[in-house]
Amino acid sequence: MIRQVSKTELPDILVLEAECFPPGEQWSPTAWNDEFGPATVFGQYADGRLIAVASIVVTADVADLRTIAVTASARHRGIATALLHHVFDWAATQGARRVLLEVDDHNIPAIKLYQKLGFAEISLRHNYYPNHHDALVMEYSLSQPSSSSAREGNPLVLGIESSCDETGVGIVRGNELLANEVASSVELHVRFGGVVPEVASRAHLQAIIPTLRRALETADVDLTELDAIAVTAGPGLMGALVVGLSAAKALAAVTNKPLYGVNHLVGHVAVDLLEHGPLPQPTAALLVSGGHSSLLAVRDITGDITELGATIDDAAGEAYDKVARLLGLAYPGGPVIDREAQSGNPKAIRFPRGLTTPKDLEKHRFDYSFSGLKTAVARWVETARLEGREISIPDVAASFQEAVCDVLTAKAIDACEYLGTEHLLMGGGVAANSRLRALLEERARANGITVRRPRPALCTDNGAMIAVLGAACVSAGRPPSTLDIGANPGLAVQQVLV
Amino acid sequence: MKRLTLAIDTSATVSAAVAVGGEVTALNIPDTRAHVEQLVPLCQQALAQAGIEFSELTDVAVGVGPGPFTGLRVGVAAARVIAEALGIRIKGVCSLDVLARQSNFDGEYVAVNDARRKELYWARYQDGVRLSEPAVTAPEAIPPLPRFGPADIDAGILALYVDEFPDAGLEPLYLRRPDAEVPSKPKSALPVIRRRAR
Repeated sequence: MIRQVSKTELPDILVLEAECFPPGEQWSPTAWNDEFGPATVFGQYADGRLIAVASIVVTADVADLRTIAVTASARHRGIATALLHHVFDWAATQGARRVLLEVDDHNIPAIKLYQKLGFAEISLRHNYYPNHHDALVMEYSLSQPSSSSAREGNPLVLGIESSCDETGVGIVRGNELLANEVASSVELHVRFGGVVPEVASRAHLQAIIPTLRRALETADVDLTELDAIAVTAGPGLMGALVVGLSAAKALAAVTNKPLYGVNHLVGHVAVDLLEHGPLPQPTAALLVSGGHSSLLAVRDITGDITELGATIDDAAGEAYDKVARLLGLAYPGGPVIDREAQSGNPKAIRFPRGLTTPKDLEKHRFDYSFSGLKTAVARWVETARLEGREISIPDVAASFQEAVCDVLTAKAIDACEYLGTEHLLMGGGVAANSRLRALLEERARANGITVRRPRPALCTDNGAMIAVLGAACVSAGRPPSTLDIGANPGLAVQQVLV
Repeated sequence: MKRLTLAIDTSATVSAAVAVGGEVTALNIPDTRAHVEQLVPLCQQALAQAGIEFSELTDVAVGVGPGPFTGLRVGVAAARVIAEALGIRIKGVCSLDVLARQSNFDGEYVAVNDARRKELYWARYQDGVRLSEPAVTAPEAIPPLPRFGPADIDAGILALYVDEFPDAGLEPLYLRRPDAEVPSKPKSALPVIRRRAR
């Protein structure tokens, strides 16, 4: 609660003053006492305790912001911003047209805060402070329209992702990445050889607040500054999704910001906006991860996405995990098999390419199937063991990987041809696979196609991909979600926004 | 300074309440499968009926179960985010303690709630004070004492008496381990016929 502070509350102010400033920079009790003549003092209270204070003097059309202090434990929550907006609104009602302040030129956090509020530096006072630092004089015009970044087409959006085993909070301004904090529970799933939904869900709840805090700190953003909150509404694991969704709804309600419940798969495409800017239309997208393998036609990232095909059984990442397990390699299988394959012969064993016969292609031109491949590898390994043959793990890994990448890339190139586009985007965790990247580049080049691929940290699940998709929805003027939306584990890719 | 407490419990149904001093506005949606859809709108509704804004809250109280996991986490996640965003106090309370307080039983009794899978969550109480750790067992394994519940948790009781309940922390009281098995050796992928022929 923000309200005017009276002189009788001077003791509380002095406690806050002592907490916020080193002895040499504190105002004395007398100085504070005298402040209550000319100045008006406003305070923010929580738990009945004064946590922030600001003092302002209005003379004709100029308001002089004399001091502001926020207790350490309450910083990065938008309290200073909210308090100052309150104070400035009040000053405007008293006839002020502009606000002036002086700030120590060494006090970078304060300068950044004032800049963010819209203050501009107008002059410098040398040797102004007792510690001989200079003072910057800054000015803020009260008549200027609110400089909301949303209106300039670069909305500031916080995104929350919790569809599988990564708790992600990202913050973007339009297509600019400000923070991308991820807490992964992958270690907890290793001994189970796959993601255990309940284990992942428990980890999300433990990670959500620390991850949120880190993101706000990294981006140096206060909640009050946000233009919108975005969150993964599906597809994914139900128990995991609802943790992020509940958190996002609570955040949206408390901050009174619009909520955008968005599609996780589309987020994997949208994240490339942060790396390579707007998408050409149309773009073909190949999404490959532990949970998904699909080919998409993207015409408008916020509203026109169609699925050309998807896996009809296992996702590619799932096949990697299963093959790694039967070879006695660690979970997750992707990176391990990729590493083993480096020293193996991809042509050593000819494993089947799923859904590539002419008959299959009639019905499943852009679909994938990796279940048969996994079984073929299992049979090959088991037979070799029964027959007492020595098994070269690098050869099996390389041959398996070749079969996966061959089909993934062949159909992706075919999709570009089908759509008549020269633009192919790859996303999802498996996009980090070295062979998939190399083979796709090679085949794309041969067909005059340009491949867009976000850096690996943005390919795996993260909050920034959700934030940037949210920002795209805000910019496109899409209506926000209501606060009664549910999580949808099977959300279709066509549905960008819930 | 007036205490303005928002209380949330999703260990059974969806329950939210706002206490302004000693006056309480309590709402409950008797649905055990729609926590994520209902909770935040219900909180907004309770605040609106009490005539206050989120920003005026001084305290958050949340039932941390035991209860079915997915719904339980919806309440705990929302409560923690609300407290974090507002920078206000938060306290987690055992949901069975709230339930026990809803009864007017004398002497010793057990408060029980549905744990699905033909089991119950329960704890022993005397005059609203808990005598045992919360447990989950088959109904037959519960001590032969008067039983209160299964019943909807009243977040109003939680909001009004939050200071009187023992602090249960903010980690849900799961009581059960996750359903997960360390995989055994992969099964044979070879056709059965071939193995016989060997």
